[in-house]
Amino acid sequence: MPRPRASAFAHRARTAVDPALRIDANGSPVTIAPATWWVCFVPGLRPQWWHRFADARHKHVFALRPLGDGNWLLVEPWWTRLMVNVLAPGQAMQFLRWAAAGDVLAVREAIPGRGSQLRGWSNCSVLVAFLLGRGHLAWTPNGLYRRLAREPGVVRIDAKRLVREHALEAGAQAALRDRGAPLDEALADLGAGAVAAMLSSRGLTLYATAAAGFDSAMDACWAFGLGRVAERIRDALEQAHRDGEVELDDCEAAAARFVAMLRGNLCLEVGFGVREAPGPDEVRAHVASAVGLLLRGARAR
Amino acid sequence: MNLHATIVPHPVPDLRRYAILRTVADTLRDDGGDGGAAGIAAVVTAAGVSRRELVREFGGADRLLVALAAMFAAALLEPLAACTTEAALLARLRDFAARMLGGSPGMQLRRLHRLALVEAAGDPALGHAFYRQGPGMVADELSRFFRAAQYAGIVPAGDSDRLAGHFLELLRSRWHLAGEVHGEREAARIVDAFWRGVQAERGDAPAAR
Repeated sequence: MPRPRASAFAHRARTAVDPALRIDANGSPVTIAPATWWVCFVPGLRPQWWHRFADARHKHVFALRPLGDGNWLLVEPWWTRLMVNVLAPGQAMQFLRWAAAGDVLAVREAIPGRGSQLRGWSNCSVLVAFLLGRGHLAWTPNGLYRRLAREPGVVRIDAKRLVREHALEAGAQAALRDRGAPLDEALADLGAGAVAAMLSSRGLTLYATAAAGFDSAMDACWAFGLGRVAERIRDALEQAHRDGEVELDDCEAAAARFVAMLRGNLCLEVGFGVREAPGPDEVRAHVASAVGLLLRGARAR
Repeated sequence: MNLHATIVPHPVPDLRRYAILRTVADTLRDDGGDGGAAGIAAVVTAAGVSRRELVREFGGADRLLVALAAMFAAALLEPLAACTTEAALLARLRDFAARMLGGSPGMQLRRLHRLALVEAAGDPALGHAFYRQGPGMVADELSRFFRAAQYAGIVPAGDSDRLAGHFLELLRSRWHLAGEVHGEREAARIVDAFWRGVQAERGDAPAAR
């Protein structure tokens, strides 16, 4: 639907619609804050005749963004339709794997934007530029990529790293299940791995990058990083709860708190450059303390 | 004797300095959710503070960031007076937690930390100063509070620094989630969960099987 400037048609809007309906300065019945999209410039999945005219890596572009509950919203222009779907985390990971083969930019959409429906030619670049409210005259994914990358505030996302960490974490989970370790040992193992990952230069860089970016990037870091560790810990706690080993009112909250305790002031000190990363003994003692506090706090029946 | 002059020796500059800190803190609260993307300079601009005034009162945006950290730390630490009973200790911890998590202050603190992380990436000295005046100061004072409670026999003996670190991170545990800041009820829940763990260490509470 065309959304002309509110000032030009304000009188018409006020006479044609229910007077109780309030419209904002952009002519919208609701005001929604601009969201940040992960704009993914990717190679093709299957050869297409027009690929020969496109950049080697950036033959297609789509956009997705985390919704904060683990799900993602996807907008992908097809040749024949516009795909708009809410993706479960596993489905989003498939798209992020595709994105990891190209480049990903975190871009805040512009409201009301500078695009125009009169522009026509709805290829993927044009539609994504329109989604973002951009008036860029870029006809190819690579052209759009170059223009967006030059904008201040646009942050480059390392999708490869997110995918790799997801795979590593899934492997760790499988290993843990295979061993069938007691709860405290399982938590200590998971905790030591999480602390090591958080304190690694890669982990600290990832966190700083997310902090430098946008809230949605922070959500994504949680969804595919510590959030997944917290999920495994929650599973372990739920199993222990079912076995009568511990009693917890809310295993999910307890897991999130455990991950938070793991972070401790250590990560903040290292992140702010106040101290060097701790050695393995200190990490072990730190994790053991957090495990003890969690399990002792879990009320026995 | 002019009491006001005694308390505030240079009322005009100090009041202006305080007013700037409040204005920038309010801007952090009202900001649309850019996290640290905008940087402290943009936040200062959005707060309507001119560069000239910023330099005159603080010397620069980096020092303003450190001053904000100190201001928030002082406000957080107010409830942590020495205590001699468990009830008093829990009341102080709940007050402390509510200040850290309650609506606006929680949002401001989260954004302040993220801004500082961003700025510290390009200026390690700033990160150091921010930590020492802000989160480091809070951690040290909280550790001192727990140590005093250990001397009073309320908290079992142990590493008070680690205890303070765990408690602070429990309170910060949901900062990674955009737009979600816990209120006083969540603060009380976290204090209760923490205290159950601490109590059990002494053997006052049933341990997990």
